[in-house]
Amino acid sequence: MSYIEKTKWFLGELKRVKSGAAGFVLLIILLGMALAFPYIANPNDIKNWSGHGTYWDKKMLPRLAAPEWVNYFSPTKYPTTTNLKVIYSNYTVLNLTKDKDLMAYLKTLQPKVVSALQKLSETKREAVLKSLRKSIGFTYVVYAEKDLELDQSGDVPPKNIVIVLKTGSIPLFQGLAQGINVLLKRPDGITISLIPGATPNLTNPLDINQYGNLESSLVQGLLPIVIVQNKSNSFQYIPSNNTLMLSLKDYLGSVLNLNNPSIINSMFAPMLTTSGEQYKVGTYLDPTKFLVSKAQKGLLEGTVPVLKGKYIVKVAMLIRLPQGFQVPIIDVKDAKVLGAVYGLMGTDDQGRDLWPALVYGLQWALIIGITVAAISTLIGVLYGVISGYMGGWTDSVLVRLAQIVYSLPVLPLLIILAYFFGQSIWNIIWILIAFGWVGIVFTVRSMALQIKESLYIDAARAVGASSWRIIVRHVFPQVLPYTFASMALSVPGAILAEAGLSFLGLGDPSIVTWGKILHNAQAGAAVINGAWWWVIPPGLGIAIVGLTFVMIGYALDKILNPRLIR
Amino acid sequence: MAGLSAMTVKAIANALVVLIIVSLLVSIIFVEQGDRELRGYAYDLLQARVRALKQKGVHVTNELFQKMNLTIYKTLGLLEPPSVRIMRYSLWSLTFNFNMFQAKVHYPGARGNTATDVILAALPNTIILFTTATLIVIAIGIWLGLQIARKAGGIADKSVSFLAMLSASLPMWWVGMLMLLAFAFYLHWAPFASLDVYSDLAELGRHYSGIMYWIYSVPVWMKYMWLPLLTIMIVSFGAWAYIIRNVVISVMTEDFVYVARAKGLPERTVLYKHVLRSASPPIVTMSALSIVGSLGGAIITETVFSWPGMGRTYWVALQNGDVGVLIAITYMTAFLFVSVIVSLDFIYALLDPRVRTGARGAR
Repeated sequence: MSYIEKTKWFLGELKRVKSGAAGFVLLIILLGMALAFPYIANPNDIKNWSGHGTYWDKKMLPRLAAPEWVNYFSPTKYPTTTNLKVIYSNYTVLNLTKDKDLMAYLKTLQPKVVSALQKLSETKREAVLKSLRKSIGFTYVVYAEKDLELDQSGDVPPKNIVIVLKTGSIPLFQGLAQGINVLLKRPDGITISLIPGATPNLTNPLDINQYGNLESSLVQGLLPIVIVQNKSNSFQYIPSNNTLMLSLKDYLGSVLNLNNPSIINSMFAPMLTTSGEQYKVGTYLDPTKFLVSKAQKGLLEGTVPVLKGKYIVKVAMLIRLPQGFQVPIIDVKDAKVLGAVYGLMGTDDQGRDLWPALVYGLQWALIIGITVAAISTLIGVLYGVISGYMGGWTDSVLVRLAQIVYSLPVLPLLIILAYFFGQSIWNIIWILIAFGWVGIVFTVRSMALQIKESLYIDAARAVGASSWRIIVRHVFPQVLPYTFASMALSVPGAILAEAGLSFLGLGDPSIVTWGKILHNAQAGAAVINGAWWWVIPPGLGIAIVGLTFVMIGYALDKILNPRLIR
Repeated sequence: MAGLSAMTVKAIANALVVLIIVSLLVSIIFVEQGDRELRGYAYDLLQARVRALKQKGVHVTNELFQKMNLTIYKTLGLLEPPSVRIMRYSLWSLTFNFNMFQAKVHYPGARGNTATDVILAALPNTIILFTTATLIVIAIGIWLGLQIARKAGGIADKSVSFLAMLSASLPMWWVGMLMLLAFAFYLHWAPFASLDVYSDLAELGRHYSGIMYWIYSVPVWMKYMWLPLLTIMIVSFGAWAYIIRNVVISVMTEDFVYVARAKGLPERTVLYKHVLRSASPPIVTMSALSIVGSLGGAIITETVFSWPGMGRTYWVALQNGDVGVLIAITYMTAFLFVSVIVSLDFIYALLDPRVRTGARGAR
């Protein structure tokens, strides 16, 4: 039969064995997914998987978030992870040396003075403005404001809201206040300010009294802001290109940690007066939940449902600078609501996206399973053939050796060896091969004993072929097809063994396998936290890959193996 | 019986070689590894002592330094060449002298501080869990295997075949995690960690003693045991039923079964008296191997459930670099496994003269 005919025959047989056909289809799908890894997932996620760097912090994903598709099945709707929409943005610089800007500045603060000034003659006005400039004491007024829209349509609160502010250098002089205010406008009309000392509404954005003071050590500690001392030690400043990550959960957490009921009661006064409650020391409060809960009785206990609708987070800064200072940029670089669900497969306890890890794990499962199964079966077949064909003392020694390896308790030895040599995945593969080759030896040996007696071997021997040549050219190829089934059937065992070792933390630290994901899940108490999306997919992956090869193995066994083996 | 005795000698020799290899292998690995740690420890100790002497104003001469170093090496046993220690560890293992191995950390339930105490505390727990599970699974497997063998090709047969395929590729410990998710997290029917069984038993011991204590401790054990037990059963009964089905089907095609049927014996009698008896040798082999295999505990499954058996003990020892306990458990597992293989070979040969001539053959 030519190879084409053989393939045709095989495919025809495969049609009869339905589970085998299903196994091959599954295998093709799995191989396709493994090869498509760079296109369906981000390889950088894997490169930085175990890195202690800032890669995953920068990505700002929610921790322990379920997959997004949960919302299709669950009666409770979970908030998704999205960027906040910028709906209003303003950045104004007033140069008070210019009359027009000075007038505009004064107009908002003291409208009466402005109207009085306008009645004066030009020369007199100049003189008054000059003296006013002197008494004001600064030249530039920078005012930045951004409104971010948060759509809270889920039934549960989001895990966090993170806003990343980027600012230029801001000097902090004694006595010259610089302002920051973060407001939350709720759908029920209540507005609160999250900065201590700031007013809950920003009626006049140029009025410094409506802001929290960046110079106050309370505000500096809470945010927390990086402060640098000027070289001449005359003043402090926020360095240029500073990123201020305002994580509302952490921020409110530190506010609560102050254990100062008066700060908390005044900060949340608009909500607490509506609910008619007072915060006392010792009350446990889930800060993010609190912000988006309905303002009614039970707000502090956290028993109130979520207030759905559009929230607006307003971030505003007012910076005043004397002559000679550079006007800083102030911008919201990133603003995100970290929902309770994220992505296709959710996240783990470090906020890492599980989808790329699962696809990448498939690659390794296939590599480990196929390599170990193929190499150990080949070694076993060759070993069995040599043992059976050679006979005599060679056979005795080889059989004895195989029986010894066969009687070794595999799992404890595997664990010990992996413990000492398991730092590389290839070491683990070699260890698995070292224990895996022996299973097939005895079957192959008995087949080789039969083949040895056949006429064509006699013929080859009569022509003068060497034993080695006969083994490699005649016996080995004859036996090999019948071992394809056991090759396929030994794949799941190899994958399970590697997964088990990785689960115990004995795997290669530089790669991500399904066993390692499960190890992290166990270490991160996924079961106790009910993080099913972290536990189920990796194991299901192992089971599916294993089942694929088992089905293929059974089919190959039915098609290729005549009853002579049994 | 010349063939039989020759075979027995061969089998026992084989077993001894296996045991010697295991004990040597494990000792080599641990002595090599242990040496690295001990040398580091010796260095730290020496530095600390030198510092202490210098603080007292003693001038540390080179001679004194060498002397101190020697004392430390002597107390840590580092002066002996590694080969001597390897031989000693192997000898202790081979003679079951586990009392010589000191445990580094405390293990739950252990009365003393030697590897013997640790094993004596852990082995009963593993027997309670895994051997019970294995026995139940074997019983279910035999019953189910016989039922489906009668109707080979039916729906039940096909689903058991599928289950067998599936359980070959299911990690038992992962199924354990799923069970914990379902029954501990969502339903609160089972505890998360079985290790608490000891504190519950201690509490029980304060109120009861003697026979009452034993009676009341049964529900306590059951409370912590039922979930791991169920897990083991779910994962393994499919494969058992499938194997027994295959054995039974091959027996059912033999002539004596047709004769029995032709005699008009009821199907029950045919199945349980004739077929099962004839199929029993391979079933007994598998059962024996399976039970002895269960004595080692499933290392990972026990870890998932925090079940204080041999497997978890092994894991804790590995985490703490507890060499003595590791050597003892590995050797015990190997010994149990090998001795069952030898005695099975022997019993087999006694029962079936045909086996005498061939090798033990494939799995």
